Amino acid sequence: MRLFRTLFKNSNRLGSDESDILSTILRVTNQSTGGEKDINLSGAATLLLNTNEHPFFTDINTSLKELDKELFVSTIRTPLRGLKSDMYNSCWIIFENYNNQKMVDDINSVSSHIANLGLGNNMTAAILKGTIKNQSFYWICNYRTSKFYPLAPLENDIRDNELEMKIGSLLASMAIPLEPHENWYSLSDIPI
Amino acid sequence: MQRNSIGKDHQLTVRMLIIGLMLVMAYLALFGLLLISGMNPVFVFVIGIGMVLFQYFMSDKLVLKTTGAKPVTKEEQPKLHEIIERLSKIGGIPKPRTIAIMDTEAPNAFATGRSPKHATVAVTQGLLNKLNDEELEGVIGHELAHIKNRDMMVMTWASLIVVIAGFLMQMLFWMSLFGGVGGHRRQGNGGQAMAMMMVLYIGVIIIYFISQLLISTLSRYRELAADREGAIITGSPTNLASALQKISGQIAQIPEKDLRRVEHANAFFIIPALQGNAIASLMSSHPPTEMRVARLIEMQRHNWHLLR
Repeated sequence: MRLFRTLFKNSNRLGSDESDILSTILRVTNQSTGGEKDINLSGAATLLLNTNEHPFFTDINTSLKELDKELFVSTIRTPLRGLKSDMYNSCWIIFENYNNQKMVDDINSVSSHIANLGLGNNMTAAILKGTIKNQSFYWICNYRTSKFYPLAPLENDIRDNELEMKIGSLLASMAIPLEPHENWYSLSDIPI
Repeated sequence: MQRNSIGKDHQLTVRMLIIGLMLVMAYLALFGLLLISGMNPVFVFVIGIGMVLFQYFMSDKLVLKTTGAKPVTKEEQPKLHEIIERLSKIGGIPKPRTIAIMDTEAPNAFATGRSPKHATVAVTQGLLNKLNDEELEGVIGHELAHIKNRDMMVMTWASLIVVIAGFLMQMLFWMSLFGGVGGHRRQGNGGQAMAMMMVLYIGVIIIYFISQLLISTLSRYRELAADREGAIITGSPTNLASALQKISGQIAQIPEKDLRRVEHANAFFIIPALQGNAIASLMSSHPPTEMRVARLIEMQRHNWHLLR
């Protein structure tokens, strides 16, 4: 909730609590019980950020160490890890080996911290690793539109569009705000 | 009865024959119209046949040029070559001489060439990316069926009448502009010639539109026949059915661009990237996808494989 309050404070996009999509996912996955709707999170996520050569991102690991000290003094957890991906001049902040609830809380803390630094516009997407009936896929949460879409990469940048469509219609039936198909952009080399 | 109706779709064959007869009637009507109006039909037909022959012999090269399809070797695309080679063998035609790839995202494919010996099969990169191996086989089977059925030849010659009528329409248009001035001055005989010209003009326009209609109908029947023949070649009607649903449906709208690239180019998503609409225009000579899928599934339900 905090994440989207902060991010979209000035963009008129914020409505009800439903705009907190990360919590929506968490709620939906907690509700899903076996069968067709067996859809889950697997305790790993990453934030994709557009660096624009801002010092916070160019020296991402130092920044995250600071952030760890500042935000998570009392918690015992894997320290945050950052990755710079040069081709698109963007960077990833990685959350791994998590309890799902804790992961969503931490993503929210980190994103609102970044937004408070005035870097809200640098955030491209939150990517959560998930499974549906033992097949893995990514939940892509587009920060610009505050909507979701599924991404199921196979090898060599080829995607399992059929599985994505299946997940998409399932998500839509669960009242999750879904991107229209023409915005289901690809993402290569996701580090989780 | 059951076996026969599976191997060949008699209803479809009869329909094609009817369309063929109607085309012959359209030819006769055009011929008669030219005779009555005093134009030399032989001259007109020779020009038409010349234009069609040019199209006929140049088509493979022209199509590769206009679509930007690039021929690929077996080393570059082993899987595509392997599928085409295997299915050609099953279908009893030589392996197409040229196998090409178009570098576009819209999933599509075509076959061309005046005979099985001079055939070209081309697929788009989008088709290779979006379809799995079975679906790709379904599409290739359909294209090879076009080659086997000599659809390129059938359609080129069938459209001869459209070429001729179109050419006459243009010629008469210009003649009526210039001839019209003279006709007004002379009266009498000239007026009669003018009226004759108008009759010819209107007749040619009617024949043009009717034959256009007949040819697109024939084209749709040839597509259905190729769906059927292709399914027999691949051994599975559902492969093509699933491919058709993929390339014409919502899946075709899913982009392949990277989110980060879009983010850079178009930071606020104001302009939705143009996708997928190009396919619709190419499909216009084709029957609706729902109909093709329904027929393929119907084929699967019957014991069509008894024939193999």
